[in-house]
Amino acid sequence: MVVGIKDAAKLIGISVIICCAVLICTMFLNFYFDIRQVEELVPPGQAMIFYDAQVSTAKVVCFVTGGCLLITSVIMLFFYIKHYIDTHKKELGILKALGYSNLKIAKNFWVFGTGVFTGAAAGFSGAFLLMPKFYELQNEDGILPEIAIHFHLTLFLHFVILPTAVFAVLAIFYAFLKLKRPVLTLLKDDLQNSAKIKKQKEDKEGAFIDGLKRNTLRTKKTLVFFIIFASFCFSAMTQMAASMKELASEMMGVMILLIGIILACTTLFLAITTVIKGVCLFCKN
Amino acid sequence: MIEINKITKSYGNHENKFQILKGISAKIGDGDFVVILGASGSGKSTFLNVISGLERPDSGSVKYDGRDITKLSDCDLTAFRRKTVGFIFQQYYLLPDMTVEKNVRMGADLADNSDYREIIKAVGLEEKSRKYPGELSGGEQQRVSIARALAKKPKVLFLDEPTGALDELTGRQVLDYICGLQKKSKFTVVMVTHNMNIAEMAKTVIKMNSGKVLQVYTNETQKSAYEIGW
Repeated sequence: MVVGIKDAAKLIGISVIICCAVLICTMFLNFYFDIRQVEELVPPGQAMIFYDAQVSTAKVVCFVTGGCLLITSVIMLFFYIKHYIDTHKKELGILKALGYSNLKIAKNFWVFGTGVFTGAAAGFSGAFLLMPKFYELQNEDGILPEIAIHFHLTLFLHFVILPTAVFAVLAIFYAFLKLKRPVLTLLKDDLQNSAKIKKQKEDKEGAFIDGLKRNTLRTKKTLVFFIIFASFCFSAMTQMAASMKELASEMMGVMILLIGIILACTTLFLAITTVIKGVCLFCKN
Repeated sequence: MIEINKITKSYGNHENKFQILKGISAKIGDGDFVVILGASGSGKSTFLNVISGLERPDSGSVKYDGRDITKLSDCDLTAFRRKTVGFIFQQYYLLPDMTVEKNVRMGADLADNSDYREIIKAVGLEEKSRKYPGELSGGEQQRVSIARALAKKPKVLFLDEPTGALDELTGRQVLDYICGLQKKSKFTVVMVTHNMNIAEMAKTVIKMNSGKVLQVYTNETQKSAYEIGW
């Protein structure tokens, strides 16, 4: 079929973000499950307050970081699929003209789930590599009893298997929706884009840069939304990193900040490559 | 039998609406070789797209053995295209990242046809079956397109200017091959062209202009691809 593993390899951005999300969530949730097992051993007083703080921190960091990065990943996935369908319109149109149904073509988009699996597996493995140091830092002052690291199968299922399956299904579903276009619209751009091209030509009569700005904003609404949302996530992560450094540990602060930077760089890379492709198309018309 | 009854088709909207087909009616018999002849902009390609199920008309009906395809859902229309029709376009429309064999197989799989290698051999591309479309000449690409369409075992084969991008020699070879197959397998062929010489190969000619049928006539004799002018 048209969609293959090599196309999933282009989802490196999603893999990176999922890796960061799973890394953080695995570390904190694993710590959360393990610390709950020593609850009875925690003496009342200051130690219990510290214990409660650690439990709350684990939950909040997991939900905030995981939630932000998960939403970013889902939007990124939809963007990649839409971009893929737009750049492979002709091939998909050929398949439809031959008689392949939308569902049969959409089923091949499951491969985009492999990018999620790669990132999630890497994040999960990385979390366990960092786990001993993380546990040590979380209980640096020895206030709590020793917390042993345990492997929780439920985390593996929820952070690796489940996201892979969900993203694969989401990819199929979204592709199915996007393929619901007339065959000739996919095969031949001319008819549908004639209005757009006419408008672009009118824009060309003005300044080139103005036309480019309008064209980019007009045709890349999803990308603009994505950049705004990613900027929001980056700001939130940086803010959280600064707070973590003071209230938790420097290590966590650095980790959260790194994730924010990775998110920003991935988004910038995606934005630049998409806009450049758009510029080439604009100049061609 | 394909019965086309008063089909209309427009493009654009509101002030910029342009009517391409203006109430066209025609009949195409089983096993017939029909050429739709017209100048550029006469609406012949749009007519082909509508009667083959690639596009829906604004009004009118297109019936295949009494079944109106204009009333079918998208799913059913896709199934109709899968089982009944084959397409050969001027631009070939091959899948660029797939080999010749895989391109033909994309058509063969739809009809559970395991003899696709025989079809590749029949179009003379057995030695190039592992090549990609970008490595083939225009004539070879068109032959791959023909093989893919025929691998589906269609009842009706639609061709939109199949020789438009080919030189004279290759064009004659392609037309000769299609004619030979049509005589052998007895499927219906509907070909769009602006070339009056090619119309001499057909049994029935539907002449179009400005979205209307001007004339329908039958050729007393059908010339071969090497007898027509170019």
